[in-house]
Amino acid sequence: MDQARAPFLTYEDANAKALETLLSRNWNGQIPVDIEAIVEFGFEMDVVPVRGLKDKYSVDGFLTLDLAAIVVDEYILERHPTRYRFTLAHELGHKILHTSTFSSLKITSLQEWIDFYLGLDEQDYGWFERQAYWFAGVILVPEEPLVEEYEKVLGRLNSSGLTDTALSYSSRTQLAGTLAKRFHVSTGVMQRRLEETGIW
Amino acid sequence: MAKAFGELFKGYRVASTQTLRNFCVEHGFDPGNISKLERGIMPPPQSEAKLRQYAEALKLPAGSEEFREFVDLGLSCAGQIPSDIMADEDLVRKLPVLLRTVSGKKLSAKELDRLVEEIRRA
Repeated sequence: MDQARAPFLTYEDANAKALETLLSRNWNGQIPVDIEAIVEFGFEMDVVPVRGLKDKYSVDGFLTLDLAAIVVDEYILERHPTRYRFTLAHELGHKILHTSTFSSLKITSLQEWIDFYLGLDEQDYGWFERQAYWFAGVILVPEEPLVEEYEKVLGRLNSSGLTDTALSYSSRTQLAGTLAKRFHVSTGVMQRRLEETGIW
Repeated sequence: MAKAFGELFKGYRVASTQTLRNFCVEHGFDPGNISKLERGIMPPPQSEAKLRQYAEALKLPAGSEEFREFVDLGLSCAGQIPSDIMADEDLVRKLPVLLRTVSGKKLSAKELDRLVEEIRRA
């Protein structure tokens, strides 16, 4: 079986693909981005909840080989909406960015899949994941509304006497937390997006 | 038959623009069961009251032809046990393309075996 090699994709490529995906699904600039609707209605994918996926295997979710379904930990789906949303966005990222790579795998048996999984190069695996992370961040927190929301929140802080450069570490975390709630993502994802977009 | 009912169920849910999570949270349904029902892996309930509850949650107008057909189809295939063992060729399509564990470590062969069995039943 051939090794799966991660395609060469930069952050800018993932960013462009995520925006293209949003626009092709008639996104009107509204936040939070309705990733559940994009996955289920736009791409007509099945969401398959499995109880215990996280507890037993430390896995939040995965895209199936036929690229038609996202299997997700049922507890995360029910109790952790922001994590659930990120899982959907991340797995959709694999579908959008890596379809040609995965389609060429031609896995036809369980043993071939096990060989593929165990033989996947760590560096390639890391790149597949990093690219899907980029995609998920952009599709959930697109740059344009992020800049708009950031200006609004910062405006409120400035009117209370703070300036951007004077923001302490805890104030920045608080600011990221406020923005994270607007976009329905975790504070960690928001902090990363503020850095990726050069706002911080 | 269970598959036809599942497809009808999902078609109505999508038409009513309710995502799986929203649908289940709003109406107090189990997402795992609804997903299995929609994919024809679980038969519809034998209770007419439960089928009517589903029809209402799917926003089918009470007394409409769609409402009656939905309940009738559900009743006609209620109790039929779909094969719960997924054939190997179907199983391969449902295996993970990549598996991202929280720790970043790969699963062991034993863990893979157990996971595959869970996927077979999912």
